[in-house]
Amino acid sequence: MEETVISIRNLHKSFGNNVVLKGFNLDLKRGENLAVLGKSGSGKSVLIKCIIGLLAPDGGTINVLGQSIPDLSQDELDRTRVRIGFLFQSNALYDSMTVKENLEFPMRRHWLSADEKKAEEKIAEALENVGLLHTLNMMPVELSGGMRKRIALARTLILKPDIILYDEPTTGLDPITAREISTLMNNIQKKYNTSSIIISHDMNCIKITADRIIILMNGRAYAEGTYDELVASADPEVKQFFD
Amino acid sequence: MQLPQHTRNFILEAGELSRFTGRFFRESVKPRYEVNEFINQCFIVGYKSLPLVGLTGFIMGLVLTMQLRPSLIDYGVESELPAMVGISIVREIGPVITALIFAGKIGSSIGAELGSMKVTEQIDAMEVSGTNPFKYLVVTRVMATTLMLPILVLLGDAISLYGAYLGVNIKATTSFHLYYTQVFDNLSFGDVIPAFVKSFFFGFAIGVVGCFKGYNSSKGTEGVGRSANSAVVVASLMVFILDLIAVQVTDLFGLN
Amino acid sequence: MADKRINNLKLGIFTIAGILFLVITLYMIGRDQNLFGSNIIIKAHFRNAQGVVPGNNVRYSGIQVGTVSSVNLINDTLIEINMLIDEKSSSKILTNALAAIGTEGLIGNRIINLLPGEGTGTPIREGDLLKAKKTTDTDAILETLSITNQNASVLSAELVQTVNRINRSTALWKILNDDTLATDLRASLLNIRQASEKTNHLVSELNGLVADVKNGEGTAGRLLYDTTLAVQLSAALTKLDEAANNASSLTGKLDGLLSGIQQDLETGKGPANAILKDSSMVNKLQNSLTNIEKSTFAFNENMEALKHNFLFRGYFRKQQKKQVKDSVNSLKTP
Repeated sequence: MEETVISIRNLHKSFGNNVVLKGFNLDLKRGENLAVLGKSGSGKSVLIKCIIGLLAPDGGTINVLGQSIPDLSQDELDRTRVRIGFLFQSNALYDSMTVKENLEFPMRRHWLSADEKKAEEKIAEALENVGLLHTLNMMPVELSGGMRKRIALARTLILKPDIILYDEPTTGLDPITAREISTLMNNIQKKYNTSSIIISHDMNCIKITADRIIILMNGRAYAEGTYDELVASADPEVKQFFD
Repeated sequence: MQLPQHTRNFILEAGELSRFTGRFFRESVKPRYEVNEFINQCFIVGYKSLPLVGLTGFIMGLVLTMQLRPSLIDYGVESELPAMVGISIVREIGPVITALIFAGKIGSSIGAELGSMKVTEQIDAMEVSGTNPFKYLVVTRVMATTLMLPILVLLGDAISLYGAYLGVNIKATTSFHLYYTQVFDNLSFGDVIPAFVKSFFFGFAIGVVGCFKGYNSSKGTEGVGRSANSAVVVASLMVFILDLIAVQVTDLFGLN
Repeated sequence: MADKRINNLKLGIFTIAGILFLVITLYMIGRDQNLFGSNIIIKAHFRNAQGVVPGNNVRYSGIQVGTVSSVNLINDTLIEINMLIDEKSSSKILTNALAAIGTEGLIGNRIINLLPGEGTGTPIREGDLLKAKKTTDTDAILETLSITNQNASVLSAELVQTVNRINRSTALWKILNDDTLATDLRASLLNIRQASEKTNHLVSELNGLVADVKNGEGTAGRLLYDTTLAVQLSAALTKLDEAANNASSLTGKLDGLLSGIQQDLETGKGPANAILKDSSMVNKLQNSLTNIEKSTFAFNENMEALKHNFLFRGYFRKQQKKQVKDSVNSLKTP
């Protein structure tokens, strides 16, 4: 049976006169990896920031894990967010903290009374997953772009979320590292059986990770389908993404 | 009514700053309290600023004494040098110089730090991690600057008075005992308390302005630089404005 | 987290140091204002507070013992000044101490000076009222000074006027410029000096006279009481005066005559020559001489009368010889 973890209906969002989303619909099933494809400035990032509650939508409903995100109180929102991982485009590692402290941060925040030993085990496990155990006491500035992305991924995974939202995970990386990250994402999803929304315009990444693709255009879901279906599409608007 | 662009921006920013300050008060009273981060910020903002503040204070005390001496000799009141220096340091030089140095060091670093956190989505990441970034970043920093600046001012005063003591002794010989007797005999609560109280306001203004500029930094590295820069400028200006208000308020209460 | 522990430790030291400095500063100021430690309140009444305000220092014989706590108006002429006195010093201050308002330095803050009073007293206690000593207020000094100043200004204005007048006066400058005046003045001075020398001489003679009077019979009283003698003396003196005048004019005439004679004798003409050849002239001359002799005799008579008076006896005895000798000489000389 397929459970819907994210359900978005008729989402509207605009910044001043710039209308970004106008009546966007989306459904994410458990265990499904959905890629949202779109041009720069098409509102992809806005979409996932609305899902996690960083941005309040102007209209429409966002239902995540049975909760209506815009209607939640701060406490309820925090509790829901524990179950959602978010990988930022710029990694958003805390510059003033070591890798270990970066990984600790979400844990400390969400489970204040977590005991030290268990926390260290979790950190070790998360770093193991991304293959960077040796960076434990390094500062983020000492790491390369790819390593930082992996640390960010490890931090996202540390709370074992049900849903992971990836904001352009391979942007700014060289193609080889991008493929490594994509593979890593795929492995993790299989390992933890998470659902995910991947915002990207990197077709290689999408090809590796996505089960289904939605093309976001003019504030709506313009086309939908698997990678192969969309590659085969005759629509010129769709085709331009795959050239 | 159409106001000129920069006037409108100025009023808009003043309004946003007021709203930001209001939000600070709302958020600061609500749990949860970020005690660890607050102590950490106190360490960074207070303890780590001490060498700079101490050096500036020392030099100011020494220079002030040497500058005042010729004038006092002209009036034949060279013996009043410790009293004169003591009062000027405690009442004005200490708080204002320390606050300006503090604005330069801490205002800019807060502006740049929060600015870069904003730009690299660290603030969003905090929010997603179940942390109220306003509480975690802004409230702790503003509280730290508000509470640490008065202590820095006090220590700066002490170092400055020691510098002044050396300054007095360059051309004359005064025992340390006589020096501090003269300094403290001429000080009253009306000199110390207003100076101490106003340094809380200086610290608060520097913290709020630094956080506001950083928190509302525009995208890109240029935005970070601009917020650091304007944090220093606005914070320094605020220090002088508050000083002006403080002197009028103390005057109103008859403490001058 | 050892690192964090050390940081917290540093922060703690930093904070404590700052607060400690604040506390020390406040304590040191407070100690001056006697906020800490125990105090007693004493009072003094003044007619004029002279600007004393709460917080001014109170000194006992120059030592800081407390501060003014309040200044109250009791009625239209009386002001009460309350003083906080350090309890340690209070046992040394007696109830007969005097309170006076003074100034620190010439233009410094007001202070209350407590001065030890005369007599005996007991140590002051809470609420005691000290006697106030009226002191010269700087204002009063300044007031006096201002009157002095006014006077000085009037004086100087008049002085200016005088000087102006002198400057404008031509006569004065003429006098000052005149050489002859100086010469005359010098001559006058010489004359005066001579006169005074003569006076001196006269005085010494008079002294001698008085001494003789004393030495004589020794009773000046009798001279003063004896009116007949006084009349005699007066008459004698008048005659003496006349005689002296006659003698002097005669001497002058004789002088002229003799010089004329001498001339005549030299030139071989004139009256002297005639006289020597003319017998009538000789007769006349003889007459004149007889007259002189007569007047001299009269003078002698007077003198004799005086001499017989016992008072002047001693003097005249001495003087007689000289007088006779002189007259003989004066007669001989021509």
